[in-house]
Amino acid sequence: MFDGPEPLYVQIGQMIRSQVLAGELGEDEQVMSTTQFATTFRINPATAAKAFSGLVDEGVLYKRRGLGMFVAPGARARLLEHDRQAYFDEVLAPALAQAKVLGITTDEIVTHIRHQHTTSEES
Amino acid sequence: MTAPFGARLDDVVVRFGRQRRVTSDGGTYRADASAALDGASLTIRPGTITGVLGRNGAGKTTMLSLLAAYRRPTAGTLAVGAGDDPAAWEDPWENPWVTSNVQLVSEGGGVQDDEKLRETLKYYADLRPFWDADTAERLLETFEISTRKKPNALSRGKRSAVGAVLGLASRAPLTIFDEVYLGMDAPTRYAFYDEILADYAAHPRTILLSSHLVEEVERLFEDVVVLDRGRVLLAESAEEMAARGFSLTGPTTAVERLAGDRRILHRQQLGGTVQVTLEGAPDDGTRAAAREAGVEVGHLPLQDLFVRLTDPAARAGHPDGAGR
Amino acid sequence: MTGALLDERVAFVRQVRRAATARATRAIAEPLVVVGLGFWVVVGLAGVVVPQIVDRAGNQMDTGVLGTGGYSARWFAFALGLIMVATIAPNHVAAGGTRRSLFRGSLLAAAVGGVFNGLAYAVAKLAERSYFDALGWTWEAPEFLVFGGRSGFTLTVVAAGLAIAAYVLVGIAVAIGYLHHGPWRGTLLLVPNAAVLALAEVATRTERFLEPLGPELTGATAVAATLVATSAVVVIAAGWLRLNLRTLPIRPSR
Repeated sequence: MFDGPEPLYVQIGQMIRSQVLAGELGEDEQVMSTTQFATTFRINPATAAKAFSGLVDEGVLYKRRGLGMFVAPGARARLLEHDRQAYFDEVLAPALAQAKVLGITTDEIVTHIRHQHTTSEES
Repeated sequence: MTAPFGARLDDVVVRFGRQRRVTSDGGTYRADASAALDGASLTIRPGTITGVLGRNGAGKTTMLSLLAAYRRPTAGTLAVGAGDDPAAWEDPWENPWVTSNVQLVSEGGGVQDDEKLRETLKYYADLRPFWDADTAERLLETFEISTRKKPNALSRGKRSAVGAVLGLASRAPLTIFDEVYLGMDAPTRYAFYDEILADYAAHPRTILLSSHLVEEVERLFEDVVVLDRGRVLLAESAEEMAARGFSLTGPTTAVERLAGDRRILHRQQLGGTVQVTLEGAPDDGTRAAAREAGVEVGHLPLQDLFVRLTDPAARAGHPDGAGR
Repeated sequence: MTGALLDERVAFVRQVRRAATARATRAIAEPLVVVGLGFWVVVGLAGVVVPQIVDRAGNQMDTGVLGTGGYSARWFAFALGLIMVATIAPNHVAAGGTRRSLFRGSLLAAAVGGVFNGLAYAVAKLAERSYFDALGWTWEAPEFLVFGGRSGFTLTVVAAGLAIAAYVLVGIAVAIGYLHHGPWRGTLLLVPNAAVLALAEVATRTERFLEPLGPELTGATAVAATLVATSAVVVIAAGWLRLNLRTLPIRPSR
């Protein structure tokens, strides 16, 4: 757990986000307190708090005074939207740029994808 | 409870009298003992869990005993106190305001060896202004320690556990655990770490933790101090420290190509797979190339950095980290 | 720092200082009283049994066993001071106590130990005198004070108590010497420690040194001189202890 090269709080944020995306954490569902999180994963509570406050700033979580942190309504939709956009920008764009360098036309790519898609749906 | 305490060392030197030394031809002569601390400067931020790392004899215990007024420095200044302004902090020596707010524990230290543990606990209960008897009782039960036993009759692990109990139940605004894990088995150590985290979260204070078991404790730290031969090699946040390097794991040829001419801190070969720890941060190009080549980019194990920094052969190229 | 905070801090420091002094006093004084009680029971038994045996054998004693008992009470107090402080000093500092509060606790404990054991000694003396009277023996005390008029009892308590207090303080100084300097230099420090004890011995016998100087120097003058000299030794012992304790470093682990 948390073995990536990014700072620990970034990895914690990624973990919570992917849980929201996967629907493991529903809207308005309470998430662990930073203390619970810190003791569960044996990490510094300040690190956990930093990750959580980052998620609050992003609008993934919201705070209820005296009660704890909850998943924000619409968080999943927003994350989905964000990640979809990121897919085009960060995954597809470099691939398309590479294709251009290699002289692969858009038609070739579309044909390829269509073919891939049908085979994967058949299997 | 008083607000968390911070601490500051300014060019602190501690020398232990004179010492008999052996010359190369086997004769002996007396000379000034080598300094346990030799111009150490650093600031411990109030409210953090700070890791204190260093090889044996690096000066960890000496530094920690200064903060608790166990001894005085030979030279340099020392300040301990509450609040964010080190200028308002004070010399701990014979200063009851400081000493009653600072708790240093170590394996087997600070207890009455030949009296039943009860007697030691009475002493702490009376003197420690924020002593929590319920916590003490609960922890004694957790660690299975009888107060009718004398510390002398306890195993090493149990004596360390006594230190853990005293340190946690004292609730001191600056709590120092100096290698309070010696002799503890793994489950006890993890129970101890969990207690530290839970108690720290419930009762914020400053905690200093010195340990050789770097891998076990690195994630507990917000700040890290590395001492080497009486000097402060590094004092920075765990985040900054982690950004000093990264690891690559994958097929040997791919990893070696990606590593390029970066300095390798550590290398571990497992058949055709290799893991190397590198200095510096991975740039986007490296990440993309790694993904393509099936190489995993991982975090920097603090242990590797620590070993590299304190390696006598590699000491020449210190990173600039002479304290903040 | 605002006024309220400063007041809070002053109160806090006063509280922890009191607690530390009280705990140290108790830790050292308790055995001086509790174990001391046991000591005097043993001495008392010897004081009853030994004259009985001598009497049955048809002999007489001129001095009781308390001459020896009173003297060993000092060494007993010395040993307890040494053992207790060697035991509690690292604990005291680790629990956040200062060397100063350990010193104050030592002084108070020496006073308590002195009063208790001085009292026990004077009571034992009186008892022994009645016992000798009952056996039809003449009792000669090595000390003159019990015979020194109405205030003799009090004076015996004070003089014996001061001597015992000095022994307690020197015992503590020996312990601190070893904790501070280790086995070699700690042993060397036994020399000045022994010198303070020698002073105590001389001071408690002041009247003997005055006797040859003329009859006008005995009686009330001798009593006063003895008390002044013994008090002075206690002050010296306390100063010597403070000197040793002031810079005591503590090793964090065993």
